[in-house]
Amino acid sequence: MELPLLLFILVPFFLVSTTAGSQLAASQADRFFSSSGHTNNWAVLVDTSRYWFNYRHSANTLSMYRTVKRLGIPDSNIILMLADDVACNPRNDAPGSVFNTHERHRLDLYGENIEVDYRGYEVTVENFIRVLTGRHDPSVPRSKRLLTDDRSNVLVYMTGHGGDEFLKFQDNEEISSWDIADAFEQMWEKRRYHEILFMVDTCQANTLYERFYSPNILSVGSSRKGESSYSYHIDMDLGVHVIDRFTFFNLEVLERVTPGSQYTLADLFSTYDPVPIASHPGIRSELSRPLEVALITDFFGAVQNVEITRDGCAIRGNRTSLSEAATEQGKSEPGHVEAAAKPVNVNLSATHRHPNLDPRVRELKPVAETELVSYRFVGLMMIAGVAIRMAVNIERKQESEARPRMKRA
Amino acid sequence: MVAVLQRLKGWIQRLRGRNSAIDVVAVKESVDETSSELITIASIWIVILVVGVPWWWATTRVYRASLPFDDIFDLAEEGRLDVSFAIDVTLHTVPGLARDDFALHVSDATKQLMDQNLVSDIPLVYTNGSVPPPHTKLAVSVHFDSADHIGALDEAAADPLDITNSSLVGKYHLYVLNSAENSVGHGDVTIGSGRDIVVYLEDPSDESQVLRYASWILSSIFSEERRSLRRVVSEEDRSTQEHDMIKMLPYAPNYNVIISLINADPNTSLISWDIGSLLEAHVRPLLSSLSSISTFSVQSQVQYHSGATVTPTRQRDSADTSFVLRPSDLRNFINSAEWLLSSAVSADPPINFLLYVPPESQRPLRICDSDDRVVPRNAFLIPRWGGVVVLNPKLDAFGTERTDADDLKTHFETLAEHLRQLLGIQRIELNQAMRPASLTMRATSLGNTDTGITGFEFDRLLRKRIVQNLVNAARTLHSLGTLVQSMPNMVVQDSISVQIKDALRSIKQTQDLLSQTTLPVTLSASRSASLALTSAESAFFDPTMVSKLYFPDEHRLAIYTPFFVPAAVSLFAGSFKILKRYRSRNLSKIKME
Repeated sequence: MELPLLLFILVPFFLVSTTAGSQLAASQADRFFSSSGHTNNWAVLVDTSRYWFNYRHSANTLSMYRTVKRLGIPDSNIILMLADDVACNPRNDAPGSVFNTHERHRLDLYGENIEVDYRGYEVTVENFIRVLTGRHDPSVPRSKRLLTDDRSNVLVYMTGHGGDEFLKFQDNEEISSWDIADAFEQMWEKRRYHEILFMVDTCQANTLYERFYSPNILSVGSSRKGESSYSYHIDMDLGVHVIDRFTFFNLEVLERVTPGSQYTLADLFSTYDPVPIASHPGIRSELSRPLEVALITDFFGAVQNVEITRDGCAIRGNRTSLSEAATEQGKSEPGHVEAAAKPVNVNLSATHRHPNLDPRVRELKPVAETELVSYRFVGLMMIAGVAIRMAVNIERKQESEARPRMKRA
Repeated sequence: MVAVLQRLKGWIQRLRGRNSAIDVVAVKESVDETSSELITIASIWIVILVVGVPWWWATTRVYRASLPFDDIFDLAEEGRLDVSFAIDVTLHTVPGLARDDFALHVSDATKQLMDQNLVSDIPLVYTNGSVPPPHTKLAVSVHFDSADHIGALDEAAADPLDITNSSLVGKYHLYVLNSAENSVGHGDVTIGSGRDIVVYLEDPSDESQVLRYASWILSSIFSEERRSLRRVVSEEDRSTQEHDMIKMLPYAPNYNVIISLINADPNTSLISWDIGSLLEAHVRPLLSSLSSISTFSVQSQVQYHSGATVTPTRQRDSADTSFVLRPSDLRNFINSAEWLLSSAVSADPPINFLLYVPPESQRPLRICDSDDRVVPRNAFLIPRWGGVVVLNPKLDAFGTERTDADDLKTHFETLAEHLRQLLGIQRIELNQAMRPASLTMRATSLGNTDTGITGFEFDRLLRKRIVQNLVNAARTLHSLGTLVQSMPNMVVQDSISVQIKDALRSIKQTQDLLSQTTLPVTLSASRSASLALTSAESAFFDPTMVSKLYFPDEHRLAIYTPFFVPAAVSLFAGSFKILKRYRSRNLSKIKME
């Protein structure tokens, strides 16, 4: 009795056996991993200045936000801190928009697709340190946390008003270079980063990174000790400067970078010219790997590691073992799938199958010839109505323009 | 109180009297006055010194709960975290070989081979002063089962394979069978779906053959496991390209699996997916069997009208036109700006799976490898993130593009494989490169089609997570200890101390459980190791642990000066004046006398 049963069990084993070895060998060629060894990218972008006249600091930060987002870092991996809401400032004559050039309406940095994580009074030294060290109140949502691991490359960009070894937050407190250095050390201790690119655009910015002592940190600053960093464009309508020089010249290069490009940080830094920047940018790279092998997209983008899949894992749903498992794991019952899908604010849940239920999709019906005539008639009438209305408006406007002139006289 | 008021009244009267009347009593009165002024000043000083200073000291003191620093820094001692896992192998051979001394032989030979492999092992690297990576030992012991061997194999095969049963963890079976009787080749090895290995030999009663095969197979499997345990704990992995470590998600007690169907062009193709039953059939069994390590919540969503960011290359074959994505395109495939993949609902780390339906103008879309060959699975994995499957719908009889259940079944199998790799489940293979030439062998590793994870794989994952959590908990505690000591301004609440003690207790408990000789404790050890990590992390990431880090003495001076200097100036000046007057009075008294 034993032998036939044994054969029955073991014969399928042989059918599978031939493929396993070759798949193992092939899998080595299917891996396309970054040379730096990171798997995910994060960005912490901080504008520390309040008040309307510091418009340019918001614009600096938002320009960086647009750049990293264009290069592939998702909003969930960007912590954006804006100390003031210049887009909605009453003095902004383009409400809801922020521009970084004097040529208006070229690129709205604020736009519709933006996620500001910390705004206004939330931008404090304490919150910045909390973001870096990961020490939050339990109620703080995931989107406001820096959930990095030992394979994360982090871009930290800061801009504001600073001085010798400090950066001012909100015009009433300041962060010192020791604070930032200690926070980075705590991150390193807890394996919260793989590499950090610290970029700062403020007066005497190079003093801010002098205290760093943790490994794998690359730092760039806009100006030496004793030097100021200057602004670039002024917008005459807004009456304020709209971008700083150092950030502007960085963006000039970054605009040419595409998600797959092979430019290195050495290429970026070689473009720095102290004459147009009006200060001497500093680079500190002795804590990190050489600049020539660090790609710009290792920090400003999210080029993912991929591995091509050749194998599947076939599971024959076994009823009995499933029911046993279900009692064991009451927490994730099958019903949970649909229940959990509902709160996601994305279009549809699992039950929502037909695309026509999506409001953005319209079903196209063929239109009959007779209907077409009536449609055309309605359309013509509407155009005529609009034309009449416009004519009346123009007339009224002329009248109303004439009236005040008479009053003033 | 009344007495004080009367005293005050008296002073005021005297002060008034001093201005109006100048007479003989004046001298005597001024002596009184001076002494009362002295009393006033002295009493103010007494209040300052007795009440003020301690009050100020107590209220500005940084509260620091006492932490068990000794225990924390003990964790950094070499060998403090070493663990040993008991591996219990039951050998099933022909009855003639079933002797205890032969089992001991196999056991010794296995150990010897494992020690040989140790020489070529991965070096353990770590930062000086931090917690050193522990040495993990897999103590293999081999013995015989008294029962008839073939009967036992039947039983093992017929059992519903409940691989997560705690009493089975760490107990393996090695069957030596006759190759001719089973009409298979000599030296064929099958690693089963539970915790059993079968090896077929021409002569299963040949003692030296059985010894060589059995010991090599066992040492190969467990050497590989020990190597993976070393990779987990060695700090070196931060810089090296250890691919399995890059792929494996960091441990979390709960994960959030998000399965998204991205339909770039819903006008031309309708995708119906019965996600509930697909999950139930292809993913749930795997997730359920892992529930003793981590739990999973699964969400699904469908998104329309946004395609991938990369444009595929058009390729015209003789037969048809297709579009291909090369590996370099895949690296920027995810359209993170338009696809909403992160969930704000859950605080657990997400695992993303995408089924991507390309727009009609880019179909059929195929994924190529670096040699430009089409990959049949049409899928790729993104380490520590998730997996992507490209789905090309077929035209049905009505001219609408649809996907059928079979297609989706294949894709969900791919997805299950992605999940296995992301969670760190390693397929059990025999390392053929290390095999001595004298052993002919052809090995097959059989997956488990019931749950997607075999008993061997489950145990390996369990042990890997135990060691990883134990070391991470110890490292977290150690850095917390260093942090608290290096920052004297940091407030340390009692709750931190409690959590640290909990973590230390759990670490100890894990080690105690593992040092027990009875086997079924591995699962509870895993639970307490995960508890140790959770407590240590919640202590480290406690929101109260943020203080203004850099607070030098000049800042302190700047804060206290406006408070204390104005009061101190008048106080010191007054005391000085009165002392001076008192002394001159005494002098004049002496002179008068």
